[in-house]
Amino acid sequence: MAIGSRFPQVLQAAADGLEWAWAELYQEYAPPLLRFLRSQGAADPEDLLGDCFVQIVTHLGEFAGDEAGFRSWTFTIARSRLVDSWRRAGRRPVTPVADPTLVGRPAQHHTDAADAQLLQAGDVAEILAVLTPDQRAVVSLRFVDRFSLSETAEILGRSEGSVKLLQHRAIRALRRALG
Amino acid sequence: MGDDNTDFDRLLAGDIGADDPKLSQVAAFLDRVQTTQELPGVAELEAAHIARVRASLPVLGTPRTQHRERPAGRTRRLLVGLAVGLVASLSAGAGVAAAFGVNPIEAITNLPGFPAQLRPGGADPKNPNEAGTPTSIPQPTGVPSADHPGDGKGQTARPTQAGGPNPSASNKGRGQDKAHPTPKASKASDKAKSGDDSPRATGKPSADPTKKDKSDKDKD
Repeated sequence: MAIGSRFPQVLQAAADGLEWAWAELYQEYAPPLLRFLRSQGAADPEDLLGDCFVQIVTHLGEFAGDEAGFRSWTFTIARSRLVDSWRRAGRRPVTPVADPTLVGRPAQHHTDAADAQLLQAGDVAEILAVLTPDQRAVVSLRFVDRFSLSETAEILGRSEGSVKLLQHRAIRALRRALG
Repeated sequence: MGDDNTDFDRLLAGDIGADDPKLSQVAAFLDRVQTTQELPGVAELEAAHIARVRASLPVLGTPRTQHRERPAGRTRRLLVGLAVGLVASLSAGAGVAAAFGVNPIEAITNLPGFPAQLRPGGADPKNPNEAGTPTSIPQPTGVPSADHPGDGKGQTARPTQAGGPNPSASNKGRGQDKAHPTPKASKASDKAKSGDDSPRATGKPSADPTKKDKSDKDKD
């Protein structure tokens, strides 16, 4: 679900300040950005998403590249806003848990499909909590959003070697947690 | 580490065999991660966020080239920064000089190579006594200083005060308040000290000295 061959025209229209272009960019890139922000334990992911788009508007003139590059660039901005929010709050990210009240519910509720899905999300979040924020970001960016190693390194502001090390440690931690 | 990164590539490719049950568990978990982290809906957020986008881009709808006036802004910021820096450095320098008990202007003018004509009063710093202008603060001469009741200054000031202030046309001979001598009285006494007793030198309308004496007598 990408904009495709129309991307250069949409980007130019957005740079010219046309609202339809911004709406199209928002509908394309806001959902994955919001998912990423939520998965990283942002305290207020919806507000951060708005901040991300303000940053995109402000710095759009500095961007040059294709659609894949733009997608990677928006995630770089999201990651930057996320780290800033952690610094402002003066603490590390919260552990992303879907709904703490649902974790450990009685077994009879497992018959409901929606509850089962939420429980699964809670379990996943609990296991992901064994990872450090950077390891969690690597897992999310590589497995969920399917970024390449170099793109992930660019988004995290690290070298590819550093990302490989994070991958290695993440897999080792997951092996331990699941074993 | 190399093995784990190979595992990572296999996990990404979905190429997990039955040879490594733990890795199969990790692969199953990552599948669950993907399924649980579905793309969220943003329809309810879109209007508010697009409004923020619009507010962040005040020239929305205008061509991109119109908001590229950064060099002028940069130049202005640079000039303002330079001015602020200059004022700050001068203030700091003056503060340091004052802290060391040095008159910063004097220190600057005493620097070797500083033009003599630009020095205050054109005086030679090596012979400050020959200064063209007096450097000491004039003392009010109306009342003898309590600290120096009988010094020369009090003596020189007395005739002026005794003679009364120079009667001008405006005050018609009314003397000035003796309890609060004004700088005018000081000037008059300075003139008396320097021996220039011509009325013109005071910058006031000429007055007959005899009249002055007379008014003083009347006053007395």
